[in-house]
Amino acid sequence: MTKMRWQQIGIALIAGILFGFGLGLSQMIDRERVLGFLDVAGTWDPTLLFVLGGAVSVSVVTFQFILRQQQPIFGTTFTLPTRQDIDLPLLGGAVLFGVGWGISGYCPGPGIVGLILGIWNPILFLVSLAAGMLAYQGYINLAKPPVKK
Amino acid sequence: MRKICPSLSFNVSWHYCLVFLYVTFGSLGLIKATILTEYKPSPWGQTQQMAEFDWPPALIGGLLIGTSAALLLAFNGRIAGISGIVGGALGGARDRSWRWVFLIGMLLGGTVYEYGLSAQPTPSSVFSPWAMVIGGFLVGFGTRLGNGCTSGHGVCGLGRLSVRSLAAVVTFLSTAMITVFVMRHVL
Repeated sequence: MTKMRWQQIGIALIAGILFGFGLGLSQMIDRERVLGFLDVAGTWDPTLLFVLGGAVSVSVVTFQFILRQQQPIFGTTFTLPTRQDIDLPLLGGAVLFGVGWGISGYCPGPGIVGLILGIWNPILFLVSLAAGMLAYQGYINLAKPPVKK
Repeated sequence: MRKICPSLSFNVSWHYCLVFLYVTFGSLGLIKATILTEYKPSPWGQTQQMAEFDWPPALIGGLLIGTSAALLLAFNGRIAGISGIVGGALGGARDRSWRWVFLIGMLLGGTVYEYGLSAQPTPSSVFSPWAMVIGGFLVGFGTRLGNGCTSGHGVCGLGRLSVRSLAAVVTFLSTAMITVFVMRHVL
């Protein structure tokens, strides 16, 4: 592997550690906190508001500077979504995700970091999440057969 | 003003959307806090209707998550979207190694917090297998179909001022709130 790839992997490790630490510190790995935030009619828990607010305030400021650069520091191109339109798969996917999030109290990040607690909930959640992702992949492959090379 | 939403064809400047989101959620929180403190002037922990919570760690945790996303974008040119990273790690992405390293990093970071620095252990929630199985499947399918979750659309998408992401965030937050409402107060 090239030097640049090793550098990228180093950054991925540091970024992953920060992300996991942040999710732990902000108590998002406790799904009762998340469900408490979503339960606006019950005992409302504002924790998630502070977490998302804090994260978005950093990204909104830093991204403006970062995306003005020609290229990333350890890479050649920014890999960014280019689409701007709001279509049915986007909203349908968001609805399915919202329902699943409301039922389980986990979104993918806390589900993964929740593994360290040594309880069954995150394990089951992740196995099922992987199944859902693979099912989507299967559905796409059925809809559009892959191009033969 | 520029046209940012061709398919819905309405003209909005981005910053208005974002300010709107902040103001809506911010004022919701403030209103709720004000009402509750009127009922009971005691600190957060004693109120019946608002959960006990501690905002400084939540805010600092959020800032760390934002910093992580900024690092990954500035150095690697990648979006820190967990569902996208998991999807790429599981499936056909060409360079999978950094994704797996990121996921391992998340576990390391969580472990350092939980077993190294945390004052008290994170309470484990009630075991609810069906909620996990059904919820997990929907989260997996939905995040791939909708191209993102709380981190990709929420933290990074809003950071990029993407209208698609804003639409997704509003949709999944409101759907999740409705789902919890139905499950806890209707059924």
